[in-house]
Amino acid sequence: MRYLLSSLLLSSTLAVAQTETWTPDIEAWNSQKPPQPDAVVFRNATVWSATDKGILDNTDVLIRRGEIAAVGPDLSAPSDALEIDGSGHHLTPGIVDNHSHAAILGGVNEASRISTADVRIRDVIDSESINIYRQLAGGVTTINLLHGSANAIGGQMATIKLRWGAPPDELVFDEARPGIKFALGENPKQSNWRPAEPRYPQTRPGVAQVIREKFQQAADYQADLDDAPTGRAARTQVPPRPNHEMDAIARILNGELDVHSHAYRADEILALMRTAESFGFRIRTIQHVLEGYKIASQMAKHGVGGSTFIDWWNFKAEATDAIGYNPAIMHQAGVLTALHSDNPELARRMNLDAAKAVRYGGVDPHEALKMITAYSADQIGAGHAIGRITEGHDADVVLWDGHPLSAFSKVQQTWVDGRRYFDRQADQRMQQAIAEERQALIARALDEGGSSSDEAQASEEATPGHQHTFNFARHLTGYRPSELDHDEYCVFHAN
Amino acid sequence: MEPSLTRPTRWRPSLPWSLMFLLLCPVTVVGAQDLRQPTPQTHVLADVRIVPAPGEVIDSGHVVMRDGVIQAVGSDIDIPADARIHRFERADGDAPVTVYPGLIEPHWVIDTEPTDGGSDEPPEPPAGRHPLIRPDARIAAAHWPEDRIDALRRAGFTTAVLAPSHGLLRGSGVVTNLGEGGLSGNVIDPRFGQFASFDERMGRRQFPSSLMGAVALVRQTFSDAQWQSQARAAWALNPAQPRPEWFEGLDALDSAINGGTPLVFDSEDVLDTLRILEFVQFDEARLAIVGHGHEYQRLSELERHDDVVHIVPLDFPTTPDVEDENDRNVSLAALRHWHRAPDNPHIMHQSGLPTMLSSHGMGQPTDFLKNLAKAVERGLDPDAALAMVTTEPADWLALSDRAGRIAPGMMANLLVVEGELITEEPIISDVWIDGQRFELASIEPPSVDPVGTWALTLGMGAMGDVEAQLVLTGTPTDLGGTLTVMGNESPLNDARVSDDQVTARLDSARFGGSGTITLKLTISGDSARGNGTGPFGEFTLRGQRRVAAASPQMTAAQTRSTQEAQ
Repeated sequence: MRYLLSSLLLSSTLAVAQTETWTPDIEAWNSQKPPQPDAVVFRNATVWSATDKGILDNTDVLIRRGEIAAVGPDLSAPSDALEIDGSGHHLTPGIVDNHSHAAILGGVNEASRISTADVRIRDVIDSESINIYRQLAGGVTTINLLHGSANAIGGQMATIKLRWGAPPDELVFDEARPGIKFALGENPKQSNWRPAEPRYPQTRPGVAQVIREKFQQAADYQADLDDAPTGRAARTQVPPRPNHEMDAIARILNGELDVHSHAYRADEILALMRTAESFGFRIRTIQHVLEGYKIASQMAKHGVGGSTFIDWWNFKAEATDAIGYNPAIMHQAGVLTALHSDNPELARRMNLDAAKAVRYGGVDPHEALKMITAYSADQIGAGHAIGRITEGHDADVVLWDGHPLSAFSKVQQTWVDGRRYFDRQADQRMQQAIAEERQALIARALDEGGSSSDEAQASEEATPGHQHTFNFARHLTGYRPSELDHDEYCVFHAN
Repeated sequence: MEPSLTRPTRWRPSLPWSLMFLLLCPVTVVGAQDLRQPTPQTHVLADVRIVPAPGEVIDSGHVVMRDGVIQAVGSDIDIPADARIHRFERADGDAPVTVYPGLIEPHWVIDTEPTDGGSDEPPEPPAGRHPLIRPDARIAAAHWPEDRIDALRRAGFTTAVLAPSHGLLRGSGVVTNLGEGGLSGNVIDPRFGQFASFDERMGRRQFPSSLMGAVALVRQTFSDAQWQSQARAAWALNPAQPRPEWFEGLDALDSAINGGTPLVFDSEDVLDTLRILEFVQFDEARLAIVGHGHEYQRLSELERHDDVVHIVPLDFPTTPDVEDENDRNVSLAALRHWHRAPDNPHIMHQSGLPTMLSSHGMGQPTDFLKNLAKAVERGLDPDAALAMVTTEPADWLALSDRAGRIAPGMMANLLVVEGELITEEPIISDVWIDGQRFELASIEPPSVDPVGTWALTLGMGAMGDVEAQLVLTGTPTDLGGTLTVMGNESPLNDARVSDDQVTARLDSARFGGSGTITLKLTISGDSARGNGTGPFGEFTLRGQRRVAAASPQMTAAQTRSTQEAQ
């Protein structure tokens, strides 16, 4: 009996993924990669292209080996193509959330130094976070994992596709441009922390000064590297010592690493853009940018994107001037404008935030959808590969059972790279399977005298750190202890 | 131990210890030929079943040990004339007594947290160096975990890697046997490996405060170490340029980078293992990962690095509490891991990845063999299981010619087992380490109260008698005390009563030797008889109680008899 059960469970783990019966699992490591059919065709859907073609009624989309091959009416498809009836459904590009902390392990902030350019989110991607699967169910296919906002110069970001089940290195999406988090305002100057040992700087001008000084140091550092001999001569010449913080900042100056800066207030956004211009480069995006509407024309002139909340307001002193019309005004002024979540729960209903941009400022619905797809992809330099339904793009698409900006619509299927990573029916199968498996395991535990020993409880969740976070984050479900076992920023990441 | 004629400098000649030294070790002065050691250093385990190595069995044979080294093993060998012969009585139908090679624990973490004298604050690191970066730290004699060694021996381990506990780059460990005599008496390799982890943070918002910060710090440190050796080499070739800055201790990383010694990374979970595999990209490094028991979860990722050694713990989860239908606060993930964990060793073995098993993370290694038996029940080949705790770690430690098997020339590290070793409740009756016997008799409740002052006579055979005073204080279940010989008093490290037997251990440093002195006394009223061992050899003990301490547990009769004795 024991072995029967064990082989039963094993076979569910090793089940060969079949197109029709593929079922995900609640644990990433145990979730098989969904198959990639050679050809898939969506028939007669309302296609939100996120391109100049706009919204296309009764349109087919053909996918070949993970790429969008054709968009148009009555497409011919290979005879073995997987046909999906899209009538009455809407097909949109996968949502791109370019400000996320949803799958980061061991702390979102390296909150110690004023510059932590040497730390990399790439090192701590949490491929096992249930957020990945949940966000697929909300139509999200790509998220940009950013360092927190505790320091003027934060860590390097990592853009991942939500390939639920894949290990961290296979989540990384190389088509996005590398970038780094900056932060201005209350967080880097520690307004709300009251640290035992205050850190320099404690003012907004101080933050601006630190950034300028770090740029200067990195320019000097790069000059030393450039002067160092190479080849034969290098053997007898003491080389400059590699400094990973300076390396990263020098890559900003060289245009290899994009700056995505957390900021709320207009004055310091202008200051940062001026600093960048004086060093000969442009800021890629301002994140949150709640006062963007005040300086939209200057932002457009600099070429900086604005990635913002639609209706988060007054949660801190520097957020009091936020208005719901901010995305509409920035967009109208020619700023590349996107909406972001900054929150793993909000990320599951980004379509509603896009809908609010229609409500506040009358943004065209198709343009509003682009704020969570094409434009957010453009902001991270990935607009050539994702964010639009057009030939040659990655087949990252979402099938909705109604208008995508409606609160009543649900995601039916989410495809990444031409693989169906979320499917509402497969999800039902999974829920049934794990309920049965749970019952089988409980029966077995009872069989083996799964008594109420305190030890069993202790082994599961009892280190002091866990206890602390469990109390702190009691409202969260489905997270692993290791996800919650660090600072409070995993839940409240100091927007 | 041989009389140390060739190494007289081991002994400190200063008075008064030298007086004791003269008494206990006259051979160094008188000449070895004139006197016999009271106890032979040659032992034979006779007519036993022998498992000399995984997959090999000798149904009946002898194991000959001389001076801590295995001299001969087999069914057709002569027993040396000077050997002490050990035979094991077995009733008909009992499983045969089987001799196994001693087990090797590849990762046993001991507390090496640095402290600054009496203060709780760690000492300041050298200028320019981070306090969690300590690649030049070493295990010192003071770190010897005397109180934890016995538990390891009881679990069947005779050799272990002692690993440092503190820092991101933690320094080197030691390979050591687990006999008596502290680090100096047991160490095989005094500098082994470079131990590393990403699981340490600085408090109070100092760098690093996060996992990614810890990774960045370790990455910068390895980069600095590589730069330093390159910069120093360039400066040596061409001194007519500014001398490169010197980072103290980073040169200790060189041998880990170039494969001179293993780089042993402690991993917290599956993602940490993947992080380490991606991080360590030095061409020559010999990476070993101390795992977590979840290796089966991302095995195909591990298989992409088939040269990496895995040290896998056997700390299987306890059965989850599911009794109360309305309060089953246990996740599916936890249930699954509870169910799958015992399959992990078998899965690792099937993968072909180099794997050793460890009691790391078990707190006490008590259930190690029980869990190993469970892994065998789940399909792990029993010979492979034994190899994972003997020959595999011996290979990794470059000790194949000295440990992990029973063969001539190997260290005399053996287990005497009543029946099979890998079973739910193995009965290990003796552990032999370096040819020294440790009897693992179970402890009985005390039937006597030995508290008091005892006048003892130590019979040193041909060397004559030595008078000593043993003071036992406390209660039979919580004994302490001192031993005084020739006016030199030394505290007892450990003293316990089992039935009518008192066992006391103390450091022999006060008496001029290096190691532990063990006294074993059988108490009968106010008389005691027994024997002892020490770095000088074995001796007999006999004596009388002179003063009884007031003890609430003493019977009236005992009190009376003590008074009469006075």
